[in-house]
Amino acid sequence: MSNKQIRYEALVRAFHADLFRYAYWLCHHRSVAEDLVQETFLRAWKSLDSLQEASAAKGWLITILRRENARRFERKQFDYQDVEQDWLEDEQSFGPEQTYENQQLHRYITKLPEEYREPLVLQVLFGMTGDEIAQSLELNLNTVNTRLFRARHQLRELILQSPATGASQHG
Amino acid sequence: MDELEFRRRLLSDPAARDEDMSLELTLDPAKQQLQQDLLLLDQQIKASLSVPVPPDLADKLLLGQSLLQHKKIRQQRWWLGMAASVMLVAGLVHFRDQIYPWHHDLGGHALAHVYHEAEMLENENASVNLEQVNQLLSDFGGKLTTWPGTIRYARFCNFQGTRSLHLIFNTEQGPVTVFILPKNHGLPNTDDFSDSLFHGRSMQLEKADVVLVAGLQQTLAPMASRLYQQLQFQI
Repeated sequence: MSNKQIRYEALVRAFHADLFRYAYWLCHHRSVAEDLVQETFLRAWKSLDSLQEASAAKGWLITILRRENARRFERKQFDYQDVEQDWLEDEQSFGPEQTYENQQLHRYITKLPEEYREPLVLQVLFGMTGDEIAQSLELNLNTVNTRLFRARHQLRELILQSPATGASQHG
Repeated sequence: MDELEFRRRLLSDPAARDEDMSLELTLDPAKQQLQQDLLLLDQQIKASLSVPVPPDLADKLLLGQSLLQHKKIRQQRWWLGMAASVMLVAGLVHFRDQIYPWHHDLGGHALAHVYHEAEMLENENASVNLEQVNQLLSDFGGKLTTWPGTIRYARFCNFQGTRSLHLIFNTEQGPVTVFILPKNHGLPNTDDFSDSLFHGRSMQLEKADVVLVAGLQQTLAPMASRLYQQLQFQI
């Protein structure tokens, strides 16, 4: 196996799960997310030589995936348009380990505006810093912080309004 | 730091641990409680975000890459094959002049054919009868009514893609090679031509072109006029 292949396999093993999740939260559709990850890694393979440092891999893959997602909208706008607008809840996405509260939270996250959800996913799932998120999303740090604040604020509001969660908190 | 700023910073990153924030947290248990709540919320968010990943995804990704690699190698091989073919053709074209001297006109071709059948010029005993010659000539619609001498050789040959008749006549001065070509042979005509051993002449008859080649010391004129008289075309 070539050195390039070893590097590639390491990238796949390390990041495919988080990238799939990130893709899922961009498109809300498991099979589309899978396609996106496939496209992302194929592109990554083709330009693997341009990735100099291992520490930059995460941001690099995210950039590729976001670009692929944008391309998907150019290409397949008509295919997914209806899905995007009407179908936002995917029961299949709940694993057996997920509790009712988690499923509830999953729905709330789905309801968040895209611009709030995306930095939250990068921060919580990928453990990226504000600066890293700002770089990936091509935003300034203040905007990123504001969006993260609003994302959590809205989620808290939704949870507090929810009768089930509210009861469990008081009980 | 005011209350609003503290909340803004904590909600944008509950795990942040800079000095200002740490100070605020130590001073106020309520703020600590808020942080604990938010860290718990983050754990729940993380659990919710962690949708199940297709179990075979990594294998699919690795397979996709190896198929791509395979395709690329095949494409490279295809180009390699193509390049080799081009080189081979280029080589053949380049060395063609050395393998088969390339003749661009009628005289050159005629001389090349004479040399190619040089053995027949030495072979005095070979002969074909007039009937056989006429059978071949009939392809061009031609006919020799009578012929005073003997004919040594008659065969079709290929004049750069054009079928032509290669004849060797015996004369008193020695063998004379005659080529009969259809009009559409496409080679530039050369009326008189020669090299160190042979000389030749071409004649444009109405239905065909005729090329005569003989040794330098032989004369071509009697043969030419005799052919002109005897060779008749019916079509």
